[in-house]
Amino acid sequence: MPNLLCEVIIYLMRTESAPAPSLPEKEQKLTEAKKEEKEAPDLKSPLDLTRDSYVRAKLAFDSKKEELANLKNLTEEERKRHFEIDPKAKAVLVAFQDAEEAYLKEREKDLGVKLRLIGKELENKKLNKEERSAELEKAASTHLLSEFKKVYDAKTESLSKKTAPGAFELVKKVGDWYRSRPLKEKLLVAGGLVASGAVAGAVGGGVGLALGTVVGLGGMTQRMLAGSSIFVGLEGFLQKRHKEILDKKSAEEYQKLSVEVFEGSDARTLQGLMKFLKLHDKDLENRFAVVYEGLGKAEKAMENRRLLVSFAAGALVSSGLLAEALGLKAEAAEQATKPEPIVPEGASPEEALKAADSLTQEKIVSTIEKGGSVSKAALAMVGEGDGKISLEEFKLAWNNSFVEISGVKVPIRDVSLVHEGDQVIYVPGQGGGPGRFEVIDYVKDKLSLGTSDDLYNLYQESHKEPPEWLERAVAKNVSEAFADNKLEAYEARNVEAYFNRGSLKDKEEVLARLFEKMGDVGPDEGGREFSDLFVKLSSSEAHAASHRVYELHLKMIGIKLDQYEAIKDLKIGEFLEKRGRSWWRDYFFPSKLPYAGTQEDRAGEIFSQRKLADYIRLLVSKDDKALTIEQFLKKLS
Amino acid sequence: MDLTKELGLENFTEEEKSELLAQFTDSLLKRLVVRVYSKLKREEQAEFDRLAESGDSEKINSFLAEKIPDMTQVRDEEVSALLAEMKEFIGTAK
Repeated sequence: MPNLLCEVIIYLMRTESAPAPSLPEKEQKLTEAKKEEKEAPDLKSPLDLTRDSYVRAKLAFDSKKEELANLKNLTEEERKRHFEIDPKAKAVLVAFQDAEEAYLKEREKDLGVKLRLIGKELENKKLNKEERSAELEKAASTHLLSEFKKVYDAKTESLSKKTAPGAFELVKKVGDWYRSRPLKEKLLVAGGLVASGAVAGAVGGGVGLALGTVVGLGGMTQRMLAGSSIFVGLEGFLQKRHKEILDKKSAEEYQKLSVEVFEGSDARTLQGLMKFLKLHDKDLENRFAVVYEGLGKAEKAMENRRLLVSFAAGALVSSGLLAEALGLKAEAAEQATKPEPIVPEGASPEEALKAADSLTQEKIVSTIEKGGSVSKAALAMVGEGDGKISLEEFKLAWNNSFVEISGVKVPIRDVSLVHEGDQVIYVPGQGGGPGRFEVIDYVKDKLSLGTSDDLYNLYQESHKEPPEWLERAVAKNVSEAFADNKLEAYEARNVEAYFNRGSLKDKEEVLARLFEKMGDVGPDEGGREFSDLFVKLSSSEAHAASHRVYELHLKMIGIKLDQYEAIKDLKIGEFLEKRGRSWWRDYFFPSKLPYAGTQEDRAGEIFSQRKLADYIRLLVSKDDKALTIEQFLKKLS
Repeated sequence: MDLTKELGLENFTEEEKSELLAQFTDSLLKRLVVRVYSKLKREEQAEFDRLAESGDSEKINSFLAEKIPDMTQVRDEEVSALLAEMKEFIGTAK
């Protein structure tokens, strides 16, 4: 602000000729002024008074700004005539010009006084000319910006009184709350608000989120905001320069804050905190994750000083974010979330059954039916009432569940080799932590859990014929049934078995192939068998049941039908890439995706698409990315 | 656009800039509250007051997302307006 500095210097030179009061005299005057203010708190300074008048006049002027701006293009005569017709406009303009002149005069005087004081202080610091100028310029900038804030806030106060009775009160409340926060928390809110497209260098913030969080000043929120959760929730929204300030001690400080929040906390507070975090930040890349060992083990956890709260423990641990965030070694972090084996290694089937019985007494159990799968059995547990889990619990547990196959941890979603009668058990998490699913394999042939391909390959390598049920599982026989124009009875049985066992996607593919054959092969040439089978399968209970499961998926996701129709043909890979994990990016920089509704409904539709994306991420495996959304959900059905 | 460059605050330390940012955020927050109110109908304003009293930020967020789906735009308008007013104000000192 070089011009401002010039003005300051000019002002100082003008007033230099008059003997300035010495510092002690000035201080005495300030003390007296403060004393007077205490005795007569309503006595405002000339600057305050002119500022108030300026704000009032400015608001009136702004309301007529466009009209008055157009007057500049008129001649003097035209302007005069306009004011004769509209004397109010003239009054507003004149009032504003007078108020502005008076205010600027007082502001300049006040700035001069402050700068003289600062100038005197700087004399003791032995600065050179440039350093002194820089300090004065800084002081002038600070004063000016402080003045601007007073004017801006006065306008806001005026506007709030005109808008609604509640507005003024809430504005005051928000302001009081914000000003009472430590700088770190203020910056977090700033990251959520100010870091917009208008200000470079930062990621966008969740405006509604930040505002809603600040406005919600109730007990639980206040406690959370006082603790570490807002730091966790909005960490990703900070501008880089502020992150540098906070990161100096972030891991250490965060751990300290975690202890403050969790030590002595009751389960309800912890659950409230987790709920707040879950709802407000699903962006794993941008947040610190703290993995919680469980309230039941709180003492041990406190002893170890490793309090961990997890929302996707498996993903976070494997990504290394957890260890990095808390400065823990990777193995130690992983150890915290390793589940204890239910069935000991090397146990006989009888021992396995016994162990399973003892554990399933108070657990929620689902048995895999004929043609069933792990995911179907797990999803069957979702519902309301006793013996059911919520969709939220399902999501957390599904992400937290692994099965060991040949010494390798396999996500439960990839386990497809299970048998009728195997059980899926839901093991609740401790103290609000995520639960997990476990699969109890009761097969007496000592084949442990694995994928169908694993087993099929084993048979191939051993040069043995795979059993019929395995052939059906890998759909080899189904292809052969459609190879020629004749459908043998055993082939029809194979196709039916595959149909009954398969997902809705498999069923629809079978029906499509049968329909195609019906068209290719006439009834007298063997086509009747194809059409009989088509009619039988399309009207079967198995088909209807799969459809019900498919509809249940959509119901659980909570997406409207028209919204689903708009995107169901998108490939999973494309959809998940565009409908990202980051809340702010989805809402403020939306990708080109089809929408069913209008711009006004956009936020709600994006919300539904995000729920769908979250649901898909839970259950998708790498081979599914080429499927469309519809094909994938039907595959799950 | 860098806020500090726009306002000629390059000489400020990081802590000083942070304090300034915090002050502007205070102003912006309050102005956003007023804008939110102005976009709500009377009965919705009363509901917003009740939600604010309850302190349930989850419900407040849902309410805002439903009633003011163009919140981003509102925010951007207010940030731009604040910067423009600031520049105009500082311009009177030149």
